[in-house]
Amino acid sequence: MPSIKHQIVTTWRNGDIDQLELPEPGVEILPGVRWGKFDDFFTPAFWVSRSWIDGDSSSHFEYTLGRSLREEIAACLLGGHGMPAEIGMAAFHRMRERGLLDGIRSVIEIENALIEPLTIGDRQVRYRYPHTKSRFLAEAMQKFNLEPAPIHSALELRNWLLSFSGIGPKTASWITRNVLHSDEVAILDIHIIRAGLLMGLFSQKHSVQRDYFDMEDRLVAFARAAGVSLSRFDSIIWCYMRQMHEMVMNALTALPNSLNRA
Amino acid sequence: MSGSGGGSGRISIGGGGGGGGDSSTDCGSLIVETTLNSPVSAVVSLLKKDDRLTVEIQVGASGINSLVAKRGGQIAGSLTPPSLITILNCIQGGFQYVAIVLNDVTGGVVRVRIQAP
Repeated sequence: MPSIKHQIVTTWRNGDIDQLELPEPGVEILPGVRWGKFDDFFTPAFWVSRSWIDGDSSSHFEYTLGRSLREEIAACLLGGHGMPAEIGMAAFHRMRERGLLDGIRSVIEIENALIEPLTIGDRQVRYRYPHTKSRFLAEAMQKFNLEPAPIHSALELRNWLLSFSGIGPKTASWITRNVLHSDEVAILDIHIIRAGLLMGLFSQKHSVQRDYFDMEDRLVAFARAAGVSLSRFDSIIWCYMRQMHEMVMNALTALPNSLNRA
Repeated sequence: MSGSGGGSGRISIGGGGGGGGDSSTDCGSLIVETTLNSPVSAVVSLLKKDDRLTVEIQVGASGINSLVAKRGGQIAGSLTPPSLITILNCIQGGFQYVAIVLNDVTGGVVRVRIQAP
């Protein structure tokens, strides 16, 4: 029987040495995707080892924004689209504090509240797209009042959310993950897509608009093969990719055929 | 790759976490105990307790980086501490760190403490 070789990750935890065995770098985690070295940034082995090293105590995993599905829908609808996070959250908190998330308030009431400048620290800032977002939010809250949310199934919940105006696969998955902590849906934002490219999980030919669910399938399969929950992976990858921006961009530049990269 | 969209699609709450870091991190006071990974035996065999190794971001030929500890310009091993991002950001911001060997190296795991020189 051939001996199985491993790469061994060690860490210092709680006053003792802890070790994790991972397959050798050349072994495929999925067809065409190799584990890579765990100490090389952005390889599959790197992400698995980071998940293990950072452990359960990490605040990577605190991602819920609201106190209920209704609030999560509102928070996610009001954020994203390149908007600074604090502005989206400030808008959400104003809606909540003023009782504008009951599904009864009119588009105009919500829009007026979004048009008023928001206070972020000591700055007054304006919310982008108050007209469009107020319509989406009012419709979403009304729909929430009228239809039972299928919270028994992550995929059914996501499909239901996809029927909301202004909610696409990424936002629907974001809400679903936040509320159900699901490992069946992926939030394919720019950071996750770049991580997928660097791991060889996604190719330059993938388009998130056209191939969202195919790309999601690959990410789900990757997490299962690695033995780590997708929601945990997602939080870690997103956190690291966002904060290692310069290295990420350098690594993407070095990819073959990187002219049209993410 | 096309159509990846603009924003992050989510909101960061709860700070950088175990692996994270943020702009408020005091790079100068950072002290982390960790182990030397992927040890290079020819270099590690020369290490003694209290040796001071330089900590550097190593750029590979394929653009992929790692954080390494060096002795006399030679890589002794990689560093994968819980506060990896914080250290990387501090190094990129101009801070320097050393990894001080904490134990006698007799073929086992090498423990180091990363700190400002």
